[in-house]
Amino acid sequence: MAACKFSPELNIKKSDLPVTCKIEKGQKDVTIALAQLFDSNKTATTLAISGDGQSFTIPGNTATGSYVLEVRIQGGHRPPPPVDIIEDCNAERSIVSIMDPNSKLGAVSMAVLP
Amino acid sequence: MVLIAALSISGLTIPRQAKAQGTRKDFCGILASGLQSEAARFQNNSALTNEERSQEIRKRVRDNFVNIVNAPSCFFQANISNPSTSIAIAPARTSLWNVFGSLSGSQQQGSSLSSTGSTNAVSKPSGQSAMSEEFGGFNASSGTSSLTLQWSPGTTFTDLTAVGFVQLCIDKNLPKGCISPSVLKGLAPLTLKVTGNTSSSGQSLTGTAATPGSTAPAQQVTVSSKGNSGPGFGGITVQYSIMGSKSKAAAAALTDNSKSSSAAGKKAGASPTDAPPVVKQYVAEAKLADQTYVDLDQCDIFKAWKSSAEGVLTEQVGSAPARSQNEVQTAIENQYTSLLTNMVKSTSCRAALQDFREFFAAILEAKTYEDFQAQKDASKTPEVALEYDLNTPQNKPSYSSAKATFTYSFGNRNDQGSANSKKGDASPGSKAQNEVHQYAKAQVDAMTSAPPGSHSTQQTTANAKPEAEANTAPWSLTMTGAADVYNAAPPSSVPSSSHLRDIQAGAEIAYLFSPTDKSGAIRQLIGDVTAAAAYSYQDQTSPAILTGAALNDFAGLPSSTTTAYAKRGVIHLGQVRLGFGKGGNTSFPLAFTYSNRTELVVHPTWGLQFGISYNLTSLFGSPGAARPASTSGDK
Repeated sequence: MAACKFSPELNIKKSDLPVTCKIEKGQKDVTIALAQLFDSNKTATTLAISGDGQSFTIPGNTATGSYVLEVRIQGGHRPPPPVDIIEDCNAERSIVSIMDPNSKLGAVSMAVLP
Repeated sequence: MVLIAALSISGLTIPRQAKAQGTRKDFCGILASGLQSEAARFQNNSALTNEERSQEIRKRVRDNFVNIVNAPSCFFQANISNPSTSIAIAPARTSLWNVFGSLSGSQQQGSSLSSTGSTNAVSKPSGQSAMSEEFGGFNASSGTSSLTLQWSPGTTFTDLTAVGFVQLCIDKNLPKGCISPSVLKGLAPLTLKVTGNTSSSGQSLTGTAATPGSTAPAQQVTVSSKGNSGPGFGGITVQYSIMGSKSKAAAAALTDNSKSSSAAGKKAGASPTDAPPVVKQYVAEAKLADQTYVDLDQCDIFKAWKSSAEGVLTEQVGSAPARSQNEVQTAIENQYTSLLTNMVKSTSCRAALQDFREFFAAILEAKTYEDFQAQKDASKTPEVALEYDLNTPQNKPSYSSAKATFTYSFGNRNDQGSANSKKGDASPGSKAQNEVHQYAKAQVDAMTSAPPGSHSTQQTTANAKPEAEANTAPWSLTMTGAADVYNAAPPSSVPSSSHLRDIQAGAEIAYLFSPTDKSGAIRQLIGDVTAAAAYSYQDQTSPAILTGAALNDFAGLPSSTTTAYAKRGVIHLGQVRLGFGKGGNTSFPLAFTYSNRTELVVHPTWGLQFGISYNLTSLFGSPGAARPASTSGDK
């Protein structure tokens, strides 16, 4: 398994981009509906989602700085069990986990370092 | 011409009935359960060090509990029981269900002040009886003999609150200039009307010879008018719905979610969350989530709370032996209750609270299905209203009316396809469900096509109307009882006269016909048509009295006569009516009325009455702006 690019504090070096994040383990019918990065000016960048809806990628051209990463899932049972979004390196280390069955949305701070 | 729309917070999806049963399968319970299961997963993972376990548990607590953006449902639910704090985060959301009920055929078209000369033999609870009132404007309805302006102040303030011009008080006098929820709810059932007489029935000509004494066969005269020549004051009406007021339901929905929530949770299996989601909606959600996330960093209370709360809950979740779910849930709820109570007192948290309201509103906007279900329940609630009228008819003594009205809508539309639809059950694939789905899409598109907060009630109403019409209970029954009292004692020279002028009772049954998709072009052009039949009984306990200039037209009366009276009796009046253009800017009630006598004329009379009702609000809105955008975002 590859080494993790994100630190536990969710910092990542720009040279480590792009990075792919995915749903930790398949819950039936759960897919990623939307993934966005909001910069400090509240400008949103929509991230590319894989065809199967199981992962998204933070691109290599992302500028250094602080961001809020937001992931919206869809589908699944009602209410869904916790859904972890992880980097494809360590299943135990969550980027963000989603537990609210109404919003199905997770927001977390992250930073791209020089 | 009648349309009701309103505002609603929506705790619609919160399964309160489950909590009442002791299962605690609510959102804070789900959060507690989720955190505990995650903690158990790490504690059972022997590959992790103790520090790694603690770190991961702490991160889950931080992400899903401390970061309230990721737990909006629990944060909202934990504060429901405290009205002063729940109002702070309760979203003002355009509610759709009132729109549906509002299109019922029970609504008044035209003036209700008189029966014999009106297109309405039976008056009805008005409430928000016109689109204009819905937006806080005024409505004018011009009948054959009157012009009525009516206003519902509660609706005006409700709408101003919804669009942010007026803030709901989250505590006493907070924020400054706010309006109290109880005042809003108290005003909502109130309707005021002012009616002017526009006919000139009392007008005639009089004149004098220009050359007195002349015997020429052709004479010049000086002509002047006699009686009223222009509009005059006809009366005022003060009406208050004491039961089933849809206006009050709208205002209550803005400030109190408990009623709505219980209605919705019963249909969890048919929730719109089962339907394909709309990406546009998620974009709006994400934007508002980011806004909330950022503004929480400016909230001093939140920043101070974060660290201690994380410690408290990490200990609860990760303790060995494990705490019960109820214990963890209680800890979560207590933390959230304390947090919000302190946040509402801090000016630095105001932006974050406002953001949270809008964020939660965006989340719940997708829950349109529950709105439909709630509306179906509410529209079946009878409405009872009390009314006071001050009548100042031309050439008659003024009098006051005390009136009670009851109206009830019922039935299903004939054009609803399946048996399930007719029962109001939106089963998958049914026409009712498709309507719900289409409606939800329109809502989402309308919401995301404009910046958050700018979505207007008018947009929602316009978008909702086609679906609303298809879900309106078509039958309506109205019953009225009234007593009329002279404002001044009638002359003692009038035999059998007393303060009590008359007593009345009436009933009307109406059916609303709406064009369907299969209707032809002409039928579509005509739009909604209300057909109604009414009967009214009036017992004249005092003779009808005539005064003023009209007396000059009676032959044989001495010039000293100031009061005339007619033979009293019982008036039986029947009326059939067609109302065209219901729900639009203009409607045209057309009525045929027959009665065995009138107040003055003792032989049978009949007549055709034609009215015009116009929505003045259309002057201020652009219908084109209300159309939904593309729904391509729906997968």
